Amino acid sequence: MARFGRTVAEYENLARDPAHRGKITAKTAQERKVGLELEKRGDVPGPIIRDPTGAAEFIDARGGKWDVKGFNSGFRPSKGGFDLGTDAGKVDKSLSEGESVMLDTSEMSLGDINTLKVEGAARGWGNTVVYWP
Amino acid sequence: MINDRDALTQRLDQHRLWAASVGRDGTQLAAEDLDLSGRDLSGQDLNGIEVPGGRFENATLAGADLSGGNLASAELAGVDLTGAQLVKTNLDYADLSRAQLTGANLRRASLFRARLNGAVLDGADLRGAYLRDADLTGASLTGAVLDDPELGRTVAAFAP
Repeated sequence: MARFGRTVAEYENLARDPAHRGKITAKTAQERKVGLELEKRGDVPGPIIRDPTGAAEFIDARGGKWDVKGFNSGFRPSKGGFDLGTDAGKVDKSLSEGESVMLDTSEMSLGDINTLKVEGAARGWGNTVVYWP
Repeated sequence: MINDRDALTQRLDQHRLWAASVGRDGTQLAAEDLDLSGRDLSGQDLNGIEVPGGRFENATLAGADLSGGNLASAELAGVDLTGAQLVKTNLDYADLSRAQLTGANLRRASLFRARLNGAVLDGADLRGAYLRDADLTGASLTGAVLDDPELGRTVAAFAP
């Protein structure tokens, strides 16, 4: 067994993005870390697997699809940095497509995280959006 | 800001090493407003590159892998991105006007307020892409793969 109760192959497959010809990148490895830790925490029903269609990142044990989104407070909004309205809209798009969202806040400031959580509560995201770490 | 051409070549080499090793070796290239004009980066694995506001005048990126990168506000007007991998790339506010994106993989890319007027997206895969407020005036989308109603409406709004 490798990690999180997976075989080596299963662990690797969690970072292989079918939308990207099955490639493993630093970004997809980070997505795997987010997914597995949320599964371990009990926020996502496990075991999760990669969505073989590439439409979402993961499928949970109940068949629910999960997107992983990460926002960054280190840039101005026009340079890819966090913008409340724009980024909340991106979350809404995933939710409207029937996906839930794992939100990687590791590159966000505490202030931006709190602002986003307040906005998420106002938009009624509930447990369809889970925050990591 | 990196201006010296040799230093930039080394930074690109270090980034390719970082990308190929999934972050174990090398160094991720992260620099705002980087001038990559005139560079032939075709076929190169530059996944995860963070060059928002980067300038790519007369650069070639055909077949390059820029997936997961941050190219927000990048100046990519007229650039050859044929067959490029742009999966989950942040291209918000980027200027892709007249860019050649035939066969490009833009799955789940973010193109909020991107300028795509006159771009050639024939055969491009746009499934899951975020195109809110993008300008697709005069863009060619023959054979492009679109999978969601909002995207279809966005594209239809710009149809001739």
